[in-house]
Amino acid sequence: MLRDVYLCALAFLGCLLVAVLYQSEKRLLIPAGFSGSLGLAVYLTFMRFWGIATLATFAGAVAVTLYAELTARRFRIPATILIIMGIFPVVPGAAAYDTVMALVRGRYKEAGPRGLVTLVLAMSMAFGILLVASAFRAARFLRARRPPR
Amino acid sequence: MELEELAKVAQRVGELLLKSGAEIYRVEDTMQRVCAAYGAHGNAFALPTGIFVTVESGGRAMTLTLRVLERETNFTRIAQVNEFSRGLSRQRLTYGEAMARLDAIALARLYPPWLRMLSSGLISGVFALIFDGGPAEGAVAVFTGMAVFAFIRLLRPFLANLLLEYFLSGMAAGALLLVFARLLPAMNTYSVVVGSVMMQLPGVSITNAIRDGMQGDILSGLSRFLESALFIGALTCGLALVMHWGGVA
Repeated sequence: MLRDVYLCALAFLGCLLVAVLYQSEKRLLIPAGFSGSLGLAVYLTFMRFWGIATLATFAGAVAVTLYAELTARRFRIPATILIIMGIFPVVPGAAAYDTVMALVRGRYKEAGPRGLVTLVLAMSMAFGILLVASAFRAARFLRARRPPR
Repeated sequence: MELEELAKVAQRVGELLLKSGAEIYRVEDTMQRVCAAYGAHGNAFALPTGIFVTVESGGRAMTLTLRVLERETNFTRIAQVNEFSRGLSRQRLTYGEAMARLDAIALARLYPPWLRMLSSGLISGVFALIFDGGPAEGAVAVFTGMAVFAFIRLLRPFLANLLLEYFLSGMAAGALLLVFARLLPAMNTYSVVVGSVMMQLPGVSITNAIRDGMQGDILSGLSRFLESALFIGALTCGLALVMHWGGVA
């Protein structure tokens, strides 16, 4: 538990720095850090209770996108910006590296499954973002269509 | 604003957005909104590497094409161009005013290069810690991350090929890590490597690829997905090759 808090604090710092790297406005530094630690917190919680990486990645992406869509309007910025900064801890970078490393070592039998894991994790992340973003888009569309009272 | 001028403003808006790492949908939609603000009909088509915009007004039409090769993520620019285009519907600017505003936005750089280099190093360090690294691994990752950031930018003027840039940077990072592995035999190379690689992940491309594909911009979604896969592949391949030769991994 303590270790999870430590990891989330690190994710906060990491995503705040990502905001600096991508030239984000100063008022967005804290929200970027927050969405990063939120994503990792949800990921770790799901890992603790269910232990399924795809589910945890999906849930992390959902949390990051929800936060981004809910706050983007207040900051008057495109939600994508916040998603990009917050999604970093959830991106299956380690899995991608493991795959390439196995390939370079010539361990093809190992590389196949690892590549599949990377792909499935990336897809879980993609669908997490997609689901929430589409829901918000549909809501905006319906609100625009409703005749004014 | 004349038709030619409006087309140029719309093109400039699209160029700034695309260069700064916006999704295709936003690039096209914003260009069309700029045209609509001046009572013209705009038809915009964008790809990750270029923009086409046709502006129709008063029975005349004009098309401009622009190739966009350089890209560097800049979220401030995206937010400011977004605000600019929304403001146009409230208050129409003249051609001179609009271009002056856009030129000012183009120059927006909030943080000096050294600070961004430092932050890219620190990102590597933080992710090394997340992947079970200790203080030593974190410090080495900070150094490696900064070196990779600097190396990619130093190479840029000499190489026309982004992929080669990433491959060579990966090799440079690998060479650095070999040196550190000799100096600190107890170092957990895995957390350092994953930390340094994480920072270079084209997270912008991946997220944009998803958003593009979702929006129905299949072509851009696919090409951006391929782009990010190739970049990850090139970087890690360079890195893994050197580490493997050096007998560390």
